[in-house]
Amino acid sequence: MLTFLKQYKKIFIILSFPYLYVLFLLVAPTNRQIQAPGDVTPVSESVVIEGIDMLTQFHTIYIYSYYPMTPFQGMIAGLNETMDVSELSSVQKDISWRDDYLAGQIQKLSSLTVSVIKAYELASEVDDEIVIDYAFSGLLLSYRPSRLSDLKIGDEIIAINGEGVNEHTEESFIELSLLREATLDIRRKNGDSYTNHTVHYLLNDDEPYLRYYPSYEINQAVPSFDLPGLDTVIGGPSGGMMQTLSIYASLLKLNIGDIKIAGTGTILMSGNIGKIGGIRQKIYTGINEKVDLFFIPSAHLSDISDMRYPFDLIAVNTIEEAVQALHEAIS
Amino acid sequence: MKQLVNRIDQAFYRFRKLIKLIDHEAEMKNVVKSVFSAFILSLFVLAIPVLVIINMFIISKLTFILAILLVIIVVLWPFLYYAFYYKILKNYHPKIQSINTKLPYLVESSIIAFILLVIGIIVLSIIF
Repeated sequence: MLTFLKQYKKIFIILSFPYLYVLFLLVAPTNRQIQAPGDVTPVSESVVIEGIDMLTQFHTIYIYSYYPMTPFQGMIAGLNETMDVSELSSVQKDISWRDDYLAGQIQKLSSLTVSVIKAYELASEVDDEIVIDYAFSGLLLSYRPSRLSDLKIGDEIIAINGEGVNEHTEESFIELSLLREATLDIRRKNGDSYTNHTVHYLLNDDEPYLRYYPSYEINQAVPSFDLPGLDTVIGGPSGGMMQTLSIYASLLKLNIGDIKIAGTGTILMSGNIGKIGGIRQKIYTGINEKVDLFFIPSAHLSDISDMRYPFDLIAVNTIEEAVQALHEAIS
Repeated sequence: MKQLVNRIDQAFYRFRKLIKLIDHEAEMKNVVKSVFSAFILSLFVLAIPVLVIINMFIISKLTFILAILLVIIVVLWPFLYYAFYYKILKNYHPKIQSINTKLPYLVESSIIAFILLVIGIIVLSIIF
């Protein structure tokens, strides 16, 4: 090899400097992240309800979020107005790619469960044959500082400082969880079985709080359902509103017509629709995918006031408002 | 048709003969060195275009085209690898300079490229 390298010594020396410079642009990590438009996913692929044909008009939206961004990606973003570059948050700097992926899956699990419960509840007001019975069962851990390795992403918190989940309402248990030091009783899934653990933690002053998503056990659902969407790699809670609308409309067999509906926004058990990240990229995705009707949380209206889009935009605060807007749109 | 079969048969015969000649001349130690060097050099050459394509996956509209480009680069890799391999092997064994390595180069590269192409098509069809 050395003989070969000596033979082309001049060429190698001349090329090595631009080569290293380009390599640096392509691989050097920065302290920034890039968000870019993604794609839409039909909700009908995520939820299956026994005896019901899921409507295919409803779509959730995902965007691409890359961190840490490379200098070359920054150059691409500078040339493309549909992409945004921002500083990494303290959580993003701390979390590993694996934990980030697991957190996305936890958020999706919680979001899909809440969507099913809310959709069944709303549909049961119209059709009393639709029934759902559920119970709040704990909090799923979606973030902890990486140094607290005794806690795993996905752990279900069933007691905090000895106070069990059964002694609290969902709201009071979530309030109780906002502590900088606590002893947690945990239920951890290992394959098909569960193990119980007790972990004590103390957060440093500069560390963010632990983050949780509510967990529910569904005791009975008529008609029964399955969630194949849990097996996909796309994660996150932002599909909550659209999942709920899709399940609701499918359960009641609403005549939606030949329109493409998409949207974004988290859903809480209270029915409130929450803010999400990358709203501008989601609007651009809606434009690219030729959506007819687009739902967003009202709190995002000011973020997109300068944008122009060809679809009807519906901004809502609660899922009840979204259901009403859907009925008005299809009537 | 028969002529074509004969030509392929002759080419394959020549290929086996040339491989035997090269194997006879080359020492195992130098073959290993050549394989390792060719592998490193070909990866260095293709690293930049591959990294450019991977970085550009943030543009969702180009995802399919970029995936095809990636498969094309992977298919081209054995041709580059074998070119370096025979070049370096000839440096270690000047006697091989007189042997025509064009036929072994084309046959071996094509076989590996075909296998990689099939794998690439399968992966693309699963993803898209």
